[in-house]
Amino acid sequence: MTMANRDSGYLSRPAPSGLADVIEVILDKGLVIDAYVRVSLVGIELLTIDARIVIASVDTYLRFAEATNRLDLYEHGGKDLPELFNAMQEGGAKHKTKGALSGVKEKFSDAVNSGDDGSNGGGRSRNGSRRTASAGSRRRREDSDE
Amino acid sequence: MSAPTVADDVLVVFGIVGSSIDATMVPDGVEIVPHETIAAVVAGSSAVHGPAAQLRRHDEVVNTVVARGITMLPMRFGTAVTNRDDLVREVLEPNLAAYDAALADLAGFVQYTVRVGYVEDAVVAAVLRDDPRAAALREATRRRGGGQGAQISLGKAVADAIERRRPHDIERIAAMLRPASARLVTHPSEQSDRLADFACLVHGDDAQAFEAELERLAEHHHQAVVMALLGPLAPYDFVPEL
Repeated sequence: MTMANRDSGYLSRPAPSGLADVIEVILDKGLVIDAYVRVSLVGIELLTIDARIVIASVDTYLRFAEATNRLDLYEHGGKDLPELFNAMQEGGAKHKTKGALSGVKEKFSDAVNSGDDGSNGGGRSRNGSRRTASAGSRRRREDSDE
Repeated sequence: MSAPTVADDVLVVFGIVGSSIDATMVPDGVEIVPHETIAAVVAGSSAVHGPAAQLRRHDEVVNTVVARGITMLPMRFGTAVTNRDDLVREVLEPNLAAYDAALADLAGFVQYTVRVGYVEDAVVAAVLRDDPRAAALREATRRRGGGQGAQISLGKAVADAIERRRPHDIERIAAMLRPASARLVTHPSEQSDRLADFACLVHGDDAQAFEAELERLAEHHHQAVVMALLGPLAPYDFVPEL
């Protein structure tokens, strides 16, 4: 039942057969068993995953610079910025916004898994090493000397 | 059983389920290894070659079980053991109580992963409105014409400003998803135009309502963000760390 692509309206429903989608959903998630019981699965190398990690680069910067040249639509075309981006401006002082946010966080802290704290980006590697953290795959990576 | 070794034919473990599962509920070539109240879903590794095929196989097996309405604790991709005896003795038996408790905790729940990215033009416009440094750089670049060096500085300022505002925007979206989710885990993206993947735990009875709510949110915010919905999936982000 999860196989069909069911795009409707503005919400895309990619079929899970796309390898990129599968990788990002599955990788480094799920139950882990003791390392001494594990054996390496032949042929599992995560080089394809590394290729998907996009680090902020010159290309990215040039793309954003390019995007600033398309802004006339918002500045002179009478188009309002989407509602989602409004709070920062309305909030005025930054600490005020922050306060409101942490209030929300406290309120929901019981219901929310601790992983949610990751939303501040703290402690997360930018170079993608997080994605190759599973023991078997790291071993393979080191062996392959990529 | 010493340190991990590479074997030609090992037992791939896809996940842990309750012992009520039977062989008709799993794809061909996949076997059940029962132990008391739980069972492991496994298959020999020799039939499938290469990382891409292994990954698809893992996804396919887990999805097939989940699609049958069976609650499964999915194993991390790539998990394998040498044989059935080791599986029972070293994995199922020592973790019996913990797996039982997790299966009870997650009974009837599925995971949806909501992948959210920025609409690039819109977030760049928001950055230039809110970030004085990026706005000033843009003005300077515009006045001086600006070679590639200036363009890169401008683009970097915009990228940095997006980086700074991302936690705020992620939190706003998380706040929208929380009321529809039993639990929520956020994985901020490492890609500059993306926001985050939000893993939402949803009871099967609420799945339709959740999907409808996601469609509503995606439409309402389509000028700011692009949303994709993956699932229903096994609860990858909600298994216990043992």
